[in-house]
Amino acid sequence: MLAIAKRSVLNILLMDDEKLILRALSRAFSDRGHQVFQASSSKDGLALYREHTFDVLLLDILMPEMSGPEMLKKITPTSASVVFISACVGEYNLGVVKSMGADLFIEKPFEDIFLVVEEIENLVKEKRQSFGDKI
Amino acid sequence: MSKQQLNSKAKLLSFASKILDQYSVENFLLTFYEEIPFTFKIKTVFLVYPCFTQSTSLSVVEASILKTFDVSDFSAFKNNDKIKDERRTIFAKFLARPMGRILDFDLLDDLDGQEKILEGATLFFEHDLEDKDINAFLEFLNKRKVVLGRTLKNILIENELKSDSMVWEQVFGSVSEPVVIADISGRVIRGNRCFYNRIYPYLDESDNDFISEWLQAYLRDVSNQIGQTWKSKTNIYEVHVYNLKEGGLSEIFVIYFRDMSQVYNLQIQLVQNEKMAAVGSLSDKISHELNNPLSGIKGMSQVLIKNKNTGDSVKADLCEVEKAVIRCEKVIRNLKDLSGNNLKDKTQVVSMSQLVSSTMALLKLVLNPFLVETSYVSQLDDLVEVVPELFRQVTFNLINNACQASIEGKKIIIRVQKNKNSVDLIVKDHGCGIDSTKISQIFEPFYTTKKKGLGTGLGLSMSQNIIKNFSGEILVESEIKKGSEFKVCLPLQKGLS
Repeated sequence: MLAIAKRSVLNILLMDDEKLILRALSRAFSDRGHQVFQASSSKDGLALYREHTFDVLLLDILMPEMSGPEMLKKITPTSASVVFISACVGEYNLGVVKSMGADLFIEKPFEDIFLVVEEIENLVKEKRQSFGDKI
Repeated sequence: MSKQQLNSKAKLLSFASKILDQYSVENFLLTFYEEIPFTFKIKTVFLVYPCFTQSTSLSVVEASILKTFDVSDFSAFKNNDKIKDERRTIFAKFLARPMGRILDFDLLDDLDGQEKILEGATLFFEHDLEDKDINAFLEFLNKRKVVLGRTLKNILIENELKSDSMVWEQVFGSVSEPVVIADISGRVIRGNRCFYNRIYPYLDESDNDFISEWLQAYLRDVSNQIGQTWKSKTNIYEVHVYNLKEGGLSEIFVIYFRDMSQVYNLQIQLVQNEKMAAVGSLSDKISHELNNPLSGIKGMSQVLIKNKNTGDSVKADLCEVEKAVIRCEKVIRNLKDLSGNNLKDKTQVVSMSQLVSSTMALLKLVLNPFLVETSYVSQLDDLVEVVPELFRQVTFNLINNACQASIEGKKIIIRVQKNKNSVDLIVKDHGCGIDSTKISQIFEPFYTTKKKGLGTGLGLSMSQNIIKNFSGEILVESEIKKGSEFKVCLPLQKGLS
């Protein structure tokens, strides 16, 4: 109980056109007590972004109509941590996604979905710490 | 007839039979020298005669010893009084001593019953004769000049024939690709060394009468220029048959074998690589399409396995689902590895000019109908770091494309040039060109403008991938109906010096 109380609840926007990934990630984050909003298209994603405040944007890169990076361009600057996920491992890597304004790259298929959750929690924690240090 | 006349006649006959037996200029001269009566004080006999290599030979007999020299300047021996002294100088130079008096004597040849001076051959005598003896000596010579002239002429003609056939034999023998002369029944009349080394052993051990088959195929379609393909155990040849009689048929044929093994191997390799590129391009698409749902299935299984509400038996089922997904992932990974370039670590620092010129050698046939202009950088000044095999494939592809885009007789320029930091290969054709709206698509996999069967649409995309892997790029400029220029730029490597 103490551990949960210490850990902050994150508001997360999940965007992926693969419904099963949305549901799986959503469950994994919910199990850890986070608040998850799901979007299966960039249009839905943008609409949700405008309605809520998010700590994390977890965006699939290759989406029909508008790609993750394109959507990110429309909403920067943002205070949220940005994570891109993709199955196109050959084309994308951490360096590439950083140049597109993201903080983290996660490749599909994931080794273990709970490690993905942990990685994102750590990212937010580190980001907040360094932000705090600056203040 | 007096006894003296008879005697003289007998001497002449004996002389003729001796001299006619001689088959070389040297023996001819020696025999003649021996026959000169010692009463004539002849010190030295010189024979100047044309040599088959278009120079002049000088044979000298002195005290029964014969020497032969090559005389480069023949003009001094032409029948001209003014240069008599010059002859004396030349003889003196060869024998390295001062010359005495010289008498020259032309030989006669009878042509169609008419006696004519034998061109280019003259006898010279260094003598010590008194004037009355000179006349007797001239009479001695005059009686013999026809038989001498005729014999010498025959020897010279024979020499020339021998040397001609020797040159021909040498040329035929040293042709580095197999050539054979056969008659219409397929019997080998003559073959060159290469034929006996490389082709004959296979014909000999085979039950098939290949030569007859090639001749029959040729006779069925005489106009067929392409040639037949024949495989020995190790090589692939194009077999070309030629008839010796122009415009008609003789019973003698020349069969020439062009070794195509290297070209075929390169083509097979190219097709193989293009297939691999196809698999690669396809597997990229497939892996993306499959990895998405697989991530979902795997993630969801993992979530449900950890869920406290899930029963044990369902958990066990979900573990199997997860394992199945992992298996699928492995298959996809293997597919990608298979198509990936396993040659990538074999890079070498090599001269681009050297690579391009060695590839050109394989394209001789393809390039044959075009006007080809090449220029290279002096070797070892254009080093690039590549996998030689792969770079050669790129070169092959670009040149092949240029040929396919061009009409016969048009110019194709192949140039290697060195810049400050890069080495470029330029392949420029004057063919059909590429529409400016399509230029961005030409490097896409499966995009082709060629006729069905001529291209897979993977050559350029593969070439670009290869060059990108070596930190280079392929640039293209094209204008419709004017032609295209492809430029491969690779970073210049510093030499070992």
